[in-house]
Amino acid sequence: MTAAPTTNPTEPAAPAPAPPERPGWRAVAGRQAAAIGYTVVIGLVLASVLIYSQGYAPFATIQSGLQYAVGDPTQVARTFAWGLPLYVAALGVAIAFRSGMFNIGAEGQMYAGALAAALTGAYLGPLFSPAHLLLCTLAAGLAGGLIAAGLGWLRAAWGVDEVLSTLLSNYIVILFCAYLAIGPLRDTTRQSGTTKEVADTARFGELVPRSGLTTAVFVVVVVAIVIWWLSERSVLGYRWRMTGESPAFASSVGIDVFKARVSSMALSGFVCGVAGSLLVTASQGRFWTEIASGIGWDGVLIALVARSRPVATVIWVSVYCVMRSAARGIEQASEVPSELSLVLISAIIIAAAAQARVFHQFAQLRHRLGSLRRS
Amino acid sequence: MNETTRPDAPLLEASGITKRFGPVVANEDVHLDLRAGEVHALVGENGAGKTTLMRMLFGMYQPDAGVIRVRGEERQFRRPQDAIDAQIGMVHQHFMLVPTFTVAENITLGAEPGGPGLYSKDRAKEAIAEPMRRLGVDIDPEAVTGRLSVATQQKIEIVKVLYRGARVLILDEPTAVLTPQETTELFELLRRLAAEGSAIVFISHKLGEVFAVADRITVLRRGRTVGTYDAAATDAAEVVAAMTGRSDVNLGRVERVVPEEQPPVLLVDAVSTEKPGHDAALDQVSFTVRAGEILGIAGVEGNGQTALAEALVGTLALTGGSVSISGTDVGGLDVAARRDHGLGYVPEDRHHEGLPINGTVLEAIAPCEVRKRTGLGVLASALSAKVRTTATGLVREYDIKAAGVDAVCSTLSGGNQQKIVVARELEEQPACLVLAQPTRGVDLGAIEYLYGRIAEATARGCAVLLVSADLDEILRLSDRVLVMYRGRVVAEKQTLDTTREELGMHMMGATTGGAA
Amino acid sequence: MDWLDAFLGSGMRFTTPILLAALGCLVTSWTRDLNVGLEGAMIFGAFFGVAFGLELGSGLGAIVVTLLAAAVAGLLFGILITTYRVNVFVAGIVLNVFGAGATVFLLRSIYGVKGALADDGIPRLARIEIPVIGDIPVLGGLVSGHTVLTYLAWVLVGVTVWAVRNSVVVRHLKAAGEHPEALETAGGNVQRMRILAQVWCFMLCALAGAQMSIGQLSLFTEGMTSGLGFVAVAAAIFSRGNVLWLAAISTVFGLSSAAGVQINEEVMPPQFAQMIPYVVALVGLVVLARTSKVDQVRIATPQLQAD
Repeated sequence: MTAAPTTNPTEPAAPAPAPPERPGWRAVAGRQAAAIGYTVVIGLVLASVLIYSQGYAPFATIQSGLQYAVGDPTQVARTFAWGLPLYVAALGVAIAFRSGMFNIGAEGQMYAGALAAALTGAYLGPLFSPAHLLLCTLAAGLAGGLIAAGLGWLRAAWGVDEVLSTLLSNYIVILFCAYLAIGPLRDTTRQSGTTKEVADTARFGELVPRSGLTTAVFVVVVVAIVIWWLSERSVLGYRWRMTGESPAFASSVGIDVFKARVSSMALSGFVCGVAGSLLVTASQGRFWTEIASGIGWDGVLIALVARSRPVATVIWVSVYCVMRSAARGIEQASEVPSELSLVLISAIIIAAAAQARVFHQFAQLRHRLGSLRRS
Repeated sequence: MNETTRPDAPLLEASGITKRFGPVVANEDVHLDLRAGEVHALVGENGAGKTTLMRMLFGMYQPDAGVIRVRGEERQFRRPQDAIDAQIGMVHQHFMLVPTFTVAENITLGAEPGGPGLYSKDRAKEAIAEPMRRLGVDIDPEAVTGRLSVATQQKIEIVKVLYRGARVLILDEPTAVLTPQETTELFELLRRLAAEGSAIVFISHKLGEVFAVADRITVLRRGRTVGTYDAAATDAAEVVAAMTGRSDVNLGRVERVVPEEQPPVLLVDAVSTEKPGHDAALDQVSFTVRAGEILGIAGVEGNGQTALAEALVGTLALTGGSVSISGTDVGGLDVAARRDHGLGYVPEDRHHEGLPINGTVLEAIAPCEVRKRTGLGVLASALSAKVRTTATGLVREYDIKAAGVDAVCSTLSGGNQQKIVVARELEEQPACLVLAQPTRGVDLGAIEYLYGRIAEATARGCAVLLVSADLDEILRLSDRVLVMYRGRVVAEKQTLDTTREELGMHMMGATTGGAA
Repeated sequence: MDWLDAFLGSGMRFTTPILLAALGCLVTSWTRDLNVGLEGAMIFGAFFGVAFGLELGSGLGAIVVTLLAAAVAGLLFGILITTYRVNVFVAGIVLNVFGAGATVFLLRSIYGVKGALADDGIPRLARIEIPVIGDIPVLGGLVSGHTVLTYLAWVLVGVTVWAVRNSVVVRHLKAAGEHPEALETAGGNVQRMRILAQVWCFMLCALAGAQMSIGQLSLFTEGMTSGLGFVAVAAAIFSRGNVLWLAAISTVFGLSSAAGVQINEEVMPPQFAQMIPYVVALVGLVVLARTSKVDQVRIATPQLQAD
């Protein structure tokens, strides 16, 4: 990163401190518990205010929402079935972020992946189901990967800002997919904007009856573990992380920064494409013009707030799934629109991002009050 | 203490100043007093708290305890403007000049002439003429600041301080970027300002310069004042002892056995590059470094030394010429391959290039091991038990003061950070080591240690290229010196046969027949 | 020539929100806090323009109140990214998601409608027909028949050009971005400048949004800014600080957006026509990277390694 404008000029350029004490696990755990508690409280307070302002009892409404989201096993399955593509998308975005490449084009790559998977599923086969699913997933990954790799190459070779290029690519890719779905590849038997339904062999089987949760959940678990290993433990991940942390350091110790940037973008796009394919193979069964409905953007948001750590990403996605599902439940139980979850997650993310500073100010305030009392 | 203004009171006085950053005590019970008409040197090692103290005198930090008095009157500086109002000005080590602004815009920043909220180019030009004349400099007010030389930028900083009406001038390490001649010129300016009744604080760790210009010397050690000395009544040995708390510090040449007539290891032949953003382009640079030899590269910063180091290690592409290490032409290879051929590199910017500053010590030491992984090996664990053992060993061997290999690099002192970089680079036993500004921001104890390690490496046959802006460092360590000017080598000298002044002449561009 | 008149008139109408938002974004690029949340700020502006318009029954009144609300929002945003050190890129992305979600939330909970809010009570900004000039072909479409916001946008271009040369505040904004410590040690206030830039940006984005909802139309639809905010970010980046360039680039984007609407379906599919501004921006980005040697404005993405 060449720009670091968040530095505050009045902040002391920390003078070399004495060898620091390593904080014990108790302190670390305590700090994390405080952080989680803080975000939960902010979310609950805000949700209560919003629900109350619509004229409903906050506690009961939230409770009924949670009941809807995680009340019984089928509901839990339904809640997370919706989230499967989001897990994959957020992890995909996180890979690129780790190497300092901000892939904001996840939404577009998901559309490309979904379309590729829908076409492979509809026009190829029926085949032996696992093979067909594999082909669909690979096609989707390739579609997303090629887009991201191309933009990554532009950044690595020519310095074309990838934040802006991936951002713009969303609109181009989505419009192009819409053109195909409305025009040449349209399923003429159905309303405008959808492609042909995929063959049954290109769909994951249902795992929990009447919940929409499919065996794709295993794919998601494998993807999550592989990405965790790759980005946090492997040599490849080390190269990506060092490139993201400090490109100058990486190149001076012999890491190929160019390769790291392009490869992480390619993999990121591949994974986002796979996330798109899940929309088709694990739920909808065909491509239509608004299939991803902002999941790619949610993925970007979550990867940012989780600082692209895979474990944190998975936790945040889970929290978001429950929130979103609960918001649906609240909408059914009351008149509060389910966009409540978007408002809440935005506020929570900002609160989490400001957390370090809020805690710092709180500690200072306590310190000042303490010294007042003493004097 | 009488709180009203007294004519005989010091112009500026700080007493009992204490400042903490979290658990770190940067200043404790520090005393300093400045009289009108004196040049007062503030000396101490890196991390002794000099800059912190000055930032408090300039209102950038607020002391936790202690008082600041201006002409005997107690004052509180909550922001730099308060200090400016009290006629205090500061020239920072890193210039406080906006690179894309014109000279006039920079000088008048914060006190723009032209009416409320307005800036007038012509009025600004008039307003800065007087301080320029007072200092005896003539700089084009319309010039873009970032394109001027560092010496000129420093003069702009002083003009800026005078423009704001300062009578106390604080200069933080002002000579670090100057040639010996420019330093002499600066000292003349300072003496002239002092003669007009100003008080000058001169922060430095170069004792030769301190004794050349200062009337009194205040020494800080580990955040405390050791004492204030009359320059005429003390000597370098006493001040060094006060700075370090030791009496056996060697500030002379580093003792080592220089092997005779070894084969050349690093052969650089007519190397040219394009102009990188931050430095001059190289133009037909040629030299050799023999096994066991230390070749110093001197020059004013921005004359191609950085480009040279980058061209050798492979982060800056060659447009002509060749580089070979131990007989292998490495000019077309990438960084990893050059390192495989025995090149080690200690980059000049530790925080950006030397270390992953927000990463761990382990991650900073791992690259050598990680570099060798190819094929499916890239899927294996990067920070394996083996890497961890190596890193732990190096931390112990180099006495790196860290809470372990999982400590974050940014929490370490400059000296310990640099030890990590040097440990990593020497661990591979390179045939040729490129050192760029190896001891910048490093305390004297760590410097001595690092010099010892470098000497050991040369005894083993390592060829060392030492790029340094610090002439003392080059004179203490190198066997031969090349001087660079505008991307070319303009002089070559045996270190023992040359002087600071002679090197300074070449740094300004004077060539000799002996140039390579 | 009627089609040319229609095309130019439509081009100017599309240029207005892009230009307004880009002028706001430009100022945040001076302080190096480039705001990528223009899209979110604009959709709020569009929504509150309609909401206050319904309440007050007056287009201009709605604009004034929306501007005040935007100033407060900008202040909050500025405090978040300075005092609370939320990375401006994260905050901008969140603002986009928040804008999309919150406007729908408000639409449904206040008006109980989904998708779009159309009502006869929504005022519409008057179109100012300039006599004589309005009748001249080509020039008429270009200059006459626009809302007050269009003219204001072009006046602001002039004001900004003047301020860059002659004002202290622009100097301090630029110094706060390029070398904050230089400004701080010269007695300036970096934080105030950074917040001021965001307030200005939010106010201009609110105008941009209002122009879309009560200027061009008199209704609000979900997601009606449809990426124009990002196009404005692109325009601000492309201009590299030059205000006249910024105006020119915004016009190009405005005209290409108009082309997307005006091009007949027989010439090319509507999706391709709608793609034009984004493709132009992407190609422009590549050309910019290839032709400029100096460092470009990098969007201030966060360091993720730091804990």
